[in-house]
Amino acid sequence: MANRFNKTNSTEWDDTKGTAQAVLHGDLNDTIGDTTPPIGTVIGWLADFTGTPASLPDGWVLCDGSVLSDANSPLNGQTIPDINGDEQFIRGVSGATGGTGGSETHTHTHGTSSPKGNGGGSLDRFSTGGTKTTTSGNHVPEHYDVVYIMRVK
Amino acid sequence: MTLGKWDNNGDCNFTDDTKNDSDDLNNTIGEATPPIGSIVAWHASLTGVPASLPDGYVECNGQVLSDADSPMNGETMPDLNNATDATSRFLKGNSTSGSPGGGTITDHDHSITNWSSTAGDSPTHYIPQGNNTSDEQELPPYIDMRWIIRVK
Repeated sequence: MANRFNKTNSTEWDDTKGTAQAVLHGDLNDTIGDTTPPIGTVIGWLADFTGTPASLPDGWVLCDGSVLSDANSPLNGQTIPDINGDEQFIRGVSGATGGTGGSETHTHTHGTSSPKGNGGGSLDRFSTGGTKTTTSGNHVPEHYDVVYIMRVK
Repeated sequence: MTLGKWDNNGDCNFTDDTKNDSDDLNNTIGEATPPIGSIVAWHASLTGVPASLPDGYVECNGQVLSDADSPMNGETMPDLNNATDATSRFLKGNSTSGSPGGGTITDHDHSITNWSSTAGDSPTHYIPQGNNTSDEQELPPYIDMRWIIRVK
C-alpha cells in the first residue's frame, strides 16, 4: 500500500503543540475505525484471480469452517462459518445472523385434471384428485463463485 | 477495534519516528481494509452516495483494467452487473473463486405415480398438469446492487 500518511496531508499537524501527535493518533484511530468494515464483516474475495495477492491480510480469514486461533481477535476460539465449503449465498435478516436454509433442489406436487373428450365431456376413465410429485430439479440462480472471507480483528 | 500496531501514547516525535509511524499506520490500514480482490456490493443509486468510486475500486463490468498501480492491470474484470453478458449475478461461496453457474432449472420429471380404480371400472388414470421446463429461472428475493472490486 502506498504511503498516504505524511505531514503535509495532516490537518491535525501543529508544530506548536506537544500533544499534536497524540491528537493525530487518536483522530486516525477514529477515522480508521469509522471507515473500515467492522469486525464480523463478510465479503466476497476473488482469491483465484490473476493479480490478487496469494494471502489475506492479518485481520481476515477464510470462511471455511475453521476454528479461529488468534489471541488478538475477539472471535478467538469460535468456529468460522463454512460458507465456501457449503457453497452458500448470503441474504439479509433483521434477527439473528448465522441461520441457514434453502436447497439447490426441491420436490413439489402438481394437481391433476381430467382430460377432455372431443365432445367437451370428461373422459370417464380419468379422474382428478391425485397429486404428482416431481423429481428434483436444480434451481440455483445465476451466480459467480467467490471465496467468502471475514474480518476477525 | 484492535489496532495494536498504532502507538497512541504520544511519547515519540515526528522528526525521528515519522517513518515508523507511517509504516505502522500502513500496516493497520492493511489489516482493517478489504484486501485486494474483495468484491463488495455498492448501492450506487441511493441518494447521497458519491457518484464515483474511490481510486482503489472499479465496477465489475467485464472491462479490461488499465491501471499500472494495480497488480490486476490488464486483466478482464468479471462481469457481475449485467454490463455485457445480460446476466446479473449473485455471489456464491466456494473453495475456488471465478466460476459462473446456475440460472436454469435443470430437466426434471413430472411422473405419474398414482394409479387407482373404481368399482367395476377400468383403472383411473391421473394426468399431471404442466410441462417439463429447462429454461426457467427461480429468483430468490433480491435487491439490485452494483458489484465492485478492490484492485489496488
